[in-house]
Amino acid sequence: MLEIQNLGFARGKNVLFENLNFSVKAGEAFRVTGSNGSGKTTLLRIVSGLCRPDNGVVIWDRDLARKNNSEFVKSVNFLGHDDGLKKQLTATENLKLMLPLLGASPSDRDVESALDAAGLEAVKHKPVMHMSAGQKRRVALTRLDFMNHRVLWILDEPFTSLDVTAISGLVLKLRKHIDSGGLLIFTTHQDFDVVSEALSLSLD
Amino acid sequence: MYKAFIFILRKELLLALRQKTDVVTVLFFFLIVSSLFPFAVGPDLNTLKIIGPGVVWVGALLCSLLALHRVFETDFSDGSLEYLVLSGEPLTVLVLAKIGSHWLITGLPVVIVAPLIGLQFGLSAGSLSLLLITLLLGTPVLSLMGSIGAALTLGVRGGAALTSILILPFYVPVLIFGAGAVVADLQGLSIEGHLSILIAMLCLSVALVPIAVANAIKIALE
Repeated sequence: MLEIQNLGFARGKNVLFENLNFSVKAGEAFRVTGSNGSGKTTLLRIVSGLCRPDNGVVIWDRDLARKNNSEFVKSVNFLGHDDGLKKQLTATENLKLMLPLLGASPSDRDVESALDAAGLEAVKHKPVMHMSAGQKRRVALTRLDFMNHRVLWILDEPFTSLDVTAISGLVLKLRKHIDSGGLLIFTTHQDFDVVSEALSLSLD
Repeated sequence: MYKAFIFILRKELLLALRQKTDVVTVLFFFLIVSSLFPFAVGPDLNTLKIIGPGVVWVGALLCSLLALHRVFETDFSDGSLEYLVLSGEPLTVLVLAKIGSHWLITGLPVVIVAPLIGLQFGLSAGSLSLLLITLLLGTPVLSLMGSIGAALTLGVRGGAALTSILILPFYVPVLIFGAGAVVADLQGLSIEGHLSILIAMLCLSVALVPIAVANAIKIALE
């Protein structure tokens, strides 16, 4: 279970949020909404441990996430604004060289069939720099197929630049993760029915 | 941990293979910079012999600087650095792998070409091999110390120039003992001290630099 207590963060004099409290249990999805610049990304970066809050704590399984950071990050699957792909490498190479660092070691065939399933069959052996923004995002999201061992998924705007088919594919993936007892925190501007009972928090 | 080290190394080497211009640029820079000196000071072989080791060392040092800001900058801008920090593997090990591959890509080629440059300055076979040894010990120290500067200036505008200003003073001891060993040998003095100090600097920086860099990266990402 993830618990956020009294979280506060300010950039200079601009207070993004303060006294934020919420919790996400296994099998729950939590959606963060808010206008541009309201602090959604910052909140997600704080929860994942990339940023330090001014006040408050993140508690993971009844223990301070910061204190137990090396254990905590092994439960976190973070997907930020940037895809983290190397533009000179192909989609397949990117995944094959990145996944082992994240604790997954899929076979070459698994990686390729996951990319095929994401509709990238024609471009999977081309350098990422020749792909469109949506295709790059699809490559980055293919990682989710191999991240079931990390239960806390923190996804920042996962639906950006995706087309309708990719969006429905992603929604299915997210539902599957939640149904199998995973936790999900995500931000989005669009209204998608990820899970009907998603909890939600507005930073506006 | 060991596996993570290997995977980073493989990824970086594959990237370098796709972007050969990076390596070639550094090598040509080295060749050109060190070839300028004979033109400037004249073709007198005795003078060239004396300045030779120093010139090769300064050339290697400038090459190290040239490629330095790229060690973490691309990873920072494309987001891969975040995934490294959140991988759960010790960041110090990952950082060491990145610096190691940076040296293999930009440092080692320079070390290999250096004896050729030394020939231009009329250095003897003995001096050339000593030059090679000092560069082998010294250039990894340059990459290691330089990466602290590269990590501290992540996301800063004009980071490359700032890195140079921050790091060059710290390169001086390596330069003194590296080039100094070859000169001392030419004068018939003992070089044991020079080499010991170079080895000590290498050991210390391998042990301590990754900790500093890992912390600098965490700060840059906040």
